[in-house]
Amino acid sequence: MVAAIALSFTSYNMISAPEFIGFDNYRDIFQDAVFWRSMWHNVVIGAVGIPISMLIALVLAVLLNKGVLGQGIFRTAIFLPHVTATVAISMIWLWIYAPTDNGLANWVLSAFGVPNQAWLTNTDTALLSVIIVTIWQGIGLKMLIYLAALQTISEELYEAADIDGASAVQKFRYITIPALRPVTFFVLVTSIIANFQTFDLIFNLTQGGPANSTTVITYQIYLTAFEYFQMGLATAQSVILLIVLVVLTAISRRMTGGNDNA
Amino acid sequence: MRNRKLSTPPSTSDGLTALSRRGFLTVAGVGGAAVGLSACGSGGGSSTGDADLELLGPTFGDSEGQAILESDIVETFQETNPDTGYNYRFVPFDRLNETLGTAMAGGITPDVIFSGVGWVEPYAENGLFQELPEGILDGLGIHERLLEACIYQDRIHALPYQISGNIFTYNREMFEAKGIEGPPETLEELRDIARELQDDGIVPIDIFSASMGQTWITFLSAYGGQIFTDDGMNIAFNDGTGEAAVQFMIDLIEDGSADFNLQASQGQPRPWQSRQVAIDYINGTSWPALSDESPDMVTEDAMGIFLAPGDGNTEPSWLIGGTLVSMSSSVSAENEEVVHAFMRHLFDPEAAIPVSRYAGTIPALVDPPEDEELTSNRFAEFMMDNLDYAVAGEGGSAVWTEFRAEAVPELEAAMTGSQGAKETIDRMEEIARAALDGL
Repeated sequence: MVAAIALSFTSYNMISAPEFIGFDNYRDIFQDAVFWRSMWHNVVIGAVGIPISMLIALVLAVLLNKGVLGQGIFRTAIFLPHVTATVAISMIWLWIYAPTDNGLANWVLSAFGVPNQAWLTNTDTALLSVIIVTIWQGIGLKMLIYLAALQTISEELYEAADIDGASAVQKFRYITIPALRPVTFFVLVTSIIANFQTFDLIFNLTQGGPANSTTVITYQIYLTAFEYFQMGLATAQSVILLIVLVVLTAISRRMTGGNDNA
Repeated sequence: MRNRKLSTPPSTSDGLTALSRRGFLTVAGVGGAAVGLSACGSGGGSSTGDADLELLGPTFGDSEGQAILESDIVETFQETNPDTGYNYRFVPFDRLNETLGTAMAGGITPDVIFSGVGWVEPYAENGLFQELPEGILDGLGIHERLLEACIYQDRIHALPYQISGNIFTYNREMFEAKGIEGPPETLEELRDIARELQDDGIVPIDIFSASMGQTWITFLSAYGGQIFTDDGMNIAFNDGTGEAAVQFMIDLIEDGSADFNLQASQGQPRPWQSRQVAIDYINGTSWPALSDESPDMVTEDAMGIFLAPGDGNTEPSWLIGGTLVSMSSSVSAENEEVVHAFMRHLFDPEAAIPVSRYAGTIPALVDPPEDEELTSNRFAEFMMDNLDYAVAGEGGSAVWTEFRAEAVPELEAAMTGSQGAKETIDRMEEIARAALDGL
């Protein structure tokens, strides 16, 4: 990490020795509209996708915690996207999102009279389409973590609530959610970090397009390093990303009241 | 002083001593690491002797390709160079830049690199591709037009190994249904024909399933333009031809003749194959898949082929693509001869033709040998018959890869209606200038 930070103050094309250029890379970054747009896309993907996937994961975990028939099968099916290679996932979703009648999404919509949508080639829908995939892919691990946490909550608390006449919603709100706070913090932080590491999905699904409407920060770093051969600038972008992640983690901790006694 | 007596190792309940178990684990670990290391490396190869050629490229990706490399290229080369082994690493085109970059940073570069059109300039500039002696061309019979993509600052840095390119195909039935007699000869005719072809459910022309950058360059060439000046140090597309090319593409969309949203997704049939499109702008390497998936659509009766028309003042053309072969700067002086010999060997018909058949490409020769299977590839046959109209539109500058990566989103913005042609060219000009300033 120290080497990367040092490299961020240089101009380095991987052939010649790095040349110290001071803060030029950081100045270029702050003037790079595409870089900040990619950062914004990460924020949007996270701000929309993470809460939705956490909520869905929590609901599924609560349902599975009740010991439903076929629980193991459901758990496996929900977790499968997390362990499937992103390349394979991208191929599947490319088919789902195909803009013609061949695409599954359009085929389903056509049954309701909705015309074909250009999911990944329309700048208005491309980012939303990516968010949907990230939600779908992210539910599994979150569900598993929540399920494990739910099983540590003492049954006595629920029994006491039953005696007091609490409804299911009240038990969920006043027992389950507070008890899951440390886990929620953990899931949130790891999800934020994972969100900012999103690369292969974008690489395979949209290559950041159309017209940079789905580019993310890691993809920009990749382009800077391996298409533009500007390794110094790429490491400076990585340092910016690191700072952002540290700040977000601190904010998340404060907001969720996470502590080391989780 | 008390004599210290070495204690015997304690025995364990399973009868093995702890020392023996540790020793066993150590040996197992070392053995496992040795097996793991020997399994590393993605290419096949035979290490037979003094000079092992390290090859890297986007061809020979599957078992069929590996077999062709081994039996048709390497083994025939070894007949005259028995002490030469090889190791091939397959990297698809979209990962090649990254692989070469890390190889350069790590100081471990392959001897022979297969790359693409437009790659020579940046990698010659940064020193990865060595200059080749002019004598390497002697007797190879390489078509002069195809050498354009291999020269940077008047020096040869690659050989055009297997050539492909972008051409137009059309559905004859759809043409005949509209009473259209033949392919267009000018861009205006193309636009007129596209308008005539408009029909329910049919998009007349698909120019977006191909690479956006290549499509723009094709029309840029059609208007007589080029991206950079001949020395690669200045911008040339801002002379009006670049804007005209963008505007032409926008006009096709606004006419209803093209649809940016109708693109072939990876792993999906092309819209042309699904008969949603009458004219397709396609790369020649698509032939193997196309002829396999839609054989009835690619017959002489079903499909016509034409060059990209000019604007009335320029000749028709097709955009060269394909695979170039270069020697890296890591090759020492004593091994240069072997590497040069291997590169020349690639052009032997017995080595080149099997690759052409496999990849759907054509050998870069003025007078390629007759081959029935090759000529059954209609795209290959068409390109061979029209080598004089080949244009090396991509590349042209050391900043090509950087420019391309940043320019394509601007073109996409124009196609999605976010900005006009002039604004697009202005932004692309800024991108190019910033990149050139960094040289």
